[in-house]
Amino acid sequence: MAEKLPIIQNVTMSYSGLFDVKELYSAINEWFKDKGYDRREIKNEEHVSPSGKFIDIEIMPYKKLSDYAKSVIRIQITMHDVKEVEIERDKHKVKLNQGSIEIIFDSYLETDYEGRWEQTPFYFFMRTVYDKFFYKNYTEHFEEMVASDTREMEAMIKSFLNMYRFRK
Amino acid sequence: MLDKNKNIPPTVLKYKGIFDIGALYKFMSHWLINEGFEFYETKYKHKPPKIEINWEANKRITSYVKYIMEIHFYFYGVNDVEVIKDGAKRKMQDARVVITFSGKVETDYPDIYGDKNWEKNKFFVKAKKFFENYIIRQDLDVKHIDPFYYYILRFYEDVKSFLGMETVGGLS
Repeated sequence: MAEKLPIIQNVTMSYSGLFDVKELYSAINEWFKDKGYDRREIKNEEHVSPSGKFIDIEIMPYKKLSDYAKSVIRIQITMHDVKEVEIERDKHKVKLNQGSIEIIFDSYLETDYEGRWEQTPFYFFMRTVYDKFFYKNYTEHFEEMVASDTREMEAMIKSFLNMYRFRK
Repeated sequence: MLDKNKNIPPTVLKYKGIFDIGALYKFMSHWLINEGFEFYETKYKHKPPKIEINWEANKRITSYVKYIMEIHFYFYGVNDVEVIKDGAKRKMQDARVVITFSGKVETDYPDIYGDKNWEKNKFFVKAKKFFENYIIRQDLDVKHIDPFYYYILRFYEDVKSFLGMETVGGLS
């Protein structure tokens, strides 16, 4: 089994107000696509109720950094009481959503994701030695890459949602 | 490579609201047929207010590679309701549904007699292992496993769009 090294854990962000669900979802997917991540959607849940929609999405895109390590960013998005509202902007009526969002970010560096170094105890031993002494610099570099991608993603979502505060 | 077993990880769609179960069934089966899949309903269990359905759809890509898509539906809390849509009364269902999409890329699939060409003797079994691990490994990843995963996601996106879910359009 591959080894998962946690890089950023449980970073949360909340927002309440106007936003566009479709645009937010597309912006996240576009960002990952631009950064070379492969898409992986674990769950997408939607409940329609009179108080608004409840939406719960879990995505876990990954990017292979080498044949040995890959970056995995897990994002859990929960939206409550999402309603459709119509606002007037530049004398035009625009449909947006109103509700609250909570986003949780976690990221990992997954090493030996193909499980090649775990076939025999000797390989496993060699892998540990290799990780600790020879590959240390690369691992540190990869850790920085994963952390920077996660922070960039977080900043992108923050600025995306902030944009709506000033669009009213 | 998503998995060394050539399995596509499951993606789960959950929805609660008013929709037409019959129309969803037709939409999904037509989608698979239009895309050239042969599909079988391996399970149909209707015990009101629950319905459980399993589908297995497969498509031969080459004489060596076949895509298998597995879809599991679980409808619960199903209640019939009458709604007015586009000025006409329609019978729909207020229900919860969980749809799980998964799949796998099968190599050396059985022929019509159920025999696998590369499992006829020990030499072929070893040759197949060598062939898949060293000769066509990249091809399987790049030409089959990853595209098939995105193919399943396209189907998943179309189902989300059919149900009128907010989060559609992730595959551009």
